Amino acid sequence: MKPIAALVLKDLAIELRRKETVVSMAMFGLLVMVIFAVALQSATLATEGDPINNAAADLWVALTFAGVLGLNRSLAIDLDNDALQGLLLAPVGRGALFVGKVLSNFLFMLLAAALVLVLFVVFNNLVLDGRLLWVVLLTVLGTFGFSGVGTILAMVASNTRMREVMLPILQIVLTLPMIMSAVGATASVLGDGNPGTLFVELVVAFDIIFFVVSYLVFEYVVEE
Amino acid sequence: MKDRLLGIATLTAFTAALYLAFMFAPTEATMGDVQRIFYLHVPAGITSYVAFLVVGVGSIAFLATRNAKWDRLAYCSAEVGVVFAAANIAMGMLWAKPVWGIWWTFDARLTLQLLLALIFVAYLMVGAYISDASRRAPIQAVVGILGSADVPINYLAIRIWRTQHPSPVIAGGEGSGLDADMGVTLAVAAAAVGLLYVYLLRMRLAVERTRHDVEHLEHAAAES
Repeated sequence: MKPIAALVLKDLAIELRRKETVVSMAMFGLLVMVIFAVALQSATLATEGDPINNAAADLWVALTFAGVLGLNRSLAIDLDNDALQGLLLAPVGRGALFVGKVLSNFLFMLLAAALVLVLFVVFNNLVLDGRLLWVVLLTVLGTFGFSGVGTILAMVASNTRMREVMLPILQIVLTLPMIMSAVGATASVLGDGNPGTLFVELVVAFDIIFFVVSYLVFEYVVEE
Repeated sequence: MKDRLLGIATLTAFTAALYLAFMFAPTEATMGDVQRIFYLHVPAGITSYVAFLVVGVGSIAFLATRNAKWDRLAYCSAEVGVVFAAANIAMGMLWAKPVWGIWWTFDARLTLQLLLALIFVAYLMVGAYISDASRRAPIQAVVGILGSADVPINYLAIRIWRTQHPSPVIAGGEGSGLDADMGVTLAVAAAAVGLLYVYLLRMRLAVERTRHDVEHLEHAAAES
């Protein structure tokens, strides 16, 4: 019994001093609740409660979590063996590094999203028509916005002691307005074939604003 | 001395605001006495927005000038802002339960305020979890800028939602407006809450400056 108690007390003492594990777990749990509630609410309000369009909320929650996993992995490659140091020492601008990283993240996420979309169509028995083109376009736009801000957030998270949990926390918190709009547009287009200009505009606005802002502040995240 | 005067002014304003809210302001016609929570609920919400605006401005100013005082201003304001946002949400819940019959709903204004608070909780978490102290300030400033950029997009994304929360009664649309006595009470309460924000921010900054000095001295002592 004694070694067990000692072990538990040791972990408790560490957590009491650093207060990291419980706080970040709770914050993550809260955000998962919020993203589901907000996505479902967006879908419901966009379509006056047509239950089939909760699928739109599912799709975007799925893409969000898939995206976070990809971003984490993509940065891990650069962190292994200090490869990132090598990249930063190379005679190329920080801007080029950022754009390159965003594009590769975007590409990977897009490939994963393509597979998710196929299953989305099958699971929801969707008819192959013009509405799906909108869903594809929205996925491309949303994925781009996601990789733009996600690339810099992965760098931010890698500077913290809690990388694997800080990335999803930051990513969910900051992309929620884009997710809400994308869910709204997806639900609307599946409902009556019209994605709603305002929703699409907001997704595009998010993409542009966050790509530009991330580009501008990237150098401050990687500086020594 | 300045702080003491500010403290006395805050206390006086709060006493006056409480007197006006409980004794002077007329009882609201439909909701009754519970409506009196309005006089603190609204100023706390507005003040949290001001506090988060200061985080954005402080973050940009820090990256532009590299003066540590802007960094301190930003994260001290974020801490105080999170407290005000939490107070605003908690008071809203206390008000919603008797009036709407529920503590919480994922309604437009409520969700907006929740997301706002969560953005800056995440901002504070990043600062707390960064392992390399010399890297903290620029990285936290980047998150501060991204977080502030998110606020208007969140506002627009949520504006599309229907809301059960009353529209702003001041400078609102048609049919809005406030009884003159209620207006006076709200103005005094807003001044009191605003003073409290400035007071808490100054106290927090003083603590941070002291900590900075102590670290500096420790560093110097270790070197000699």
